[in-house]
Amino acid sequence: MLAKRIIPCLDVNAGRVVKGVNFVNLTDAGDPVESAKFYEQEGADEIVFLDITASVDNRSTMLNVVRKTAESIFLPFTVGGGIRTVDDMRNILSNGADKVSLNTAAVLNPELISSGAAEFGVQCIVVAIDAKKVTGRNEAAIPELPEDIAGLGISLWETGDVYEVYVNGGRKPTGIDVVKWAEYVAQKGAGEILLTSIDKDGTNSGYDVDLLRKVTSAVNVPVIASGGAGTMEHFYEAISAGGADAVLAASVFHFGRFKIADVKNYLSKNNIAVRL
Amino acid sequence: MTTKKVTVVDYRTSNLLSIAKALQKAGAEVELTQNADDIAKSEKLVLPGVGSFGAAMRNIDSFGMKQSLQEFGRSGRPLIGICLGMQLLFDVSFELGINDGLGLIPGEVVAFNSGVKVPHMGWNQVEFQRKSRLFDGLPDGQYAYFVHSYYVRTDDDCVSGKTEYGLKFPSIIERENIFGIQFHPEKSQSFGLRILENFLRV
Repeated sequence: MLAKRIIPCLDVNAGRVVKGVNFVNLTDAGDPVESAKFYEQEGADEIVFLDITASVDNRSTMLNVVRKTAESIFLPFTVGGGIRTVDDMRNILSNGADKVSLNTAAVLNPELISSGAAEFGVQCIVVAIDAKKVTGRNEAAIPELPEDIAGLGISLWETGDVYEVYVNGGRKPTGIDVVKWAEYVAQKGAGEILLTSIDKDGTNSGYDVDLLRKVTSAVNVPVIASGGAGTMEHFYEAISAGGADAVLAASVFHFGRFKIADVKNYLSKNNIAVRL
Repeated sequence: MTTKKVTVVDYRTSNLLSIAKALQKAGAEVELTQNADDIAKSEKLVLPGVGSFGAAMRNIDSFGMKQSLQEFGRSGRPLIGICLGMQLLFDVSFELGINDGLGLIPGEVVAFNSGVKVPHMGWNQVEFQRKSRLFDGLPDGQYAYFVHSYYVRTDDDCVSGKTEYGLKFPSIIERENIFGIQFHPEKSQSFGLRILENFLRV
């Protein structure tokens, strides 16, 4: 049976892990490769690197990290952050990453999804969606969409909760409806969706199950839940009620609140298939 | 560990580095080639692959390697196809049109359409169907890492391992000297490395 995946996420800035793994006996906890090796040992099913390097000059540093990671671990890993072109994707994939994750660039240029999928296969293309529940917005304040995606706008008349896509690290609203965007990117060639709740991120108060449910029931590609992990029950909720195929977390693992193996044992006891 | 020579076919597939690294870890002396003569001279051959079937066959053709791959497969020397590389061993694929494969094993490559999410992505179990040289030292039912949207339909007598995903599909195939694995051994930790080690001993 296909196992639900548990995925630790490492933020990397100029080749160094930030908000790093601070409880381990690593020689160098700021080294992304050491951290990846640690999580491989801990039973991670995949690893996600989010490159938050602002400067373009430091891009080659990340490629070096990717190559060294690929040489050190025998586990799939994804790299996101700052990927703008098919060449950027090729550089990362040919250095040994298994998938690239697109976020802002996919919104600015949706054709990037289909070009990447045609070149490398849909299995390499993750589209990361940062979602925020729409509250107290008036119609006039919603950004107008480019013509090619004009049909994907949020509608405040719709019943139930509406979620909006944000870009630029969750700072900039786009006016795009999350569910419509998810359907659109899946049809464009995204092989997987990494869905982060901006409202829940960093709160440790649980994943946004309602958001997850809306997206997982709309698309036929795997969905990774992100944002809000605080307890092992939260992982269970994301999978059982949210329909997530994989669950991503950072701080609970980095700060040793519990271990990946603890989460997996908990899920297994609750009849969720995991790789123990 | 004794060194074992293995030639990896390089037709610009993006996971080449990871495959080569895993083979080295499994004890192989790895040579990459884009050349039909090197294929003809090699002792053991690995055919990797990610991406789409038609594009991969066109790439292999453009390097002039199709015929030498077919001849190698019929020569009795060990050949293993990995992921898309396994699918290429068969007659035909229906991924984005109809494309001929290498035709070394009878069968066809078809899409998952049994109500499951596509791609089939993540860790799933390999159920052994019979004894195989690839399974030495490995228990049945281990998890391996899969990423694919199409699977192979072939005779059961070519199938050594199956995996359940809406239906039971062949995840390890084997016919005399020719092997294929649908999952990624280079991403399947100790299970994947042991399969590669076992292939190196064939």
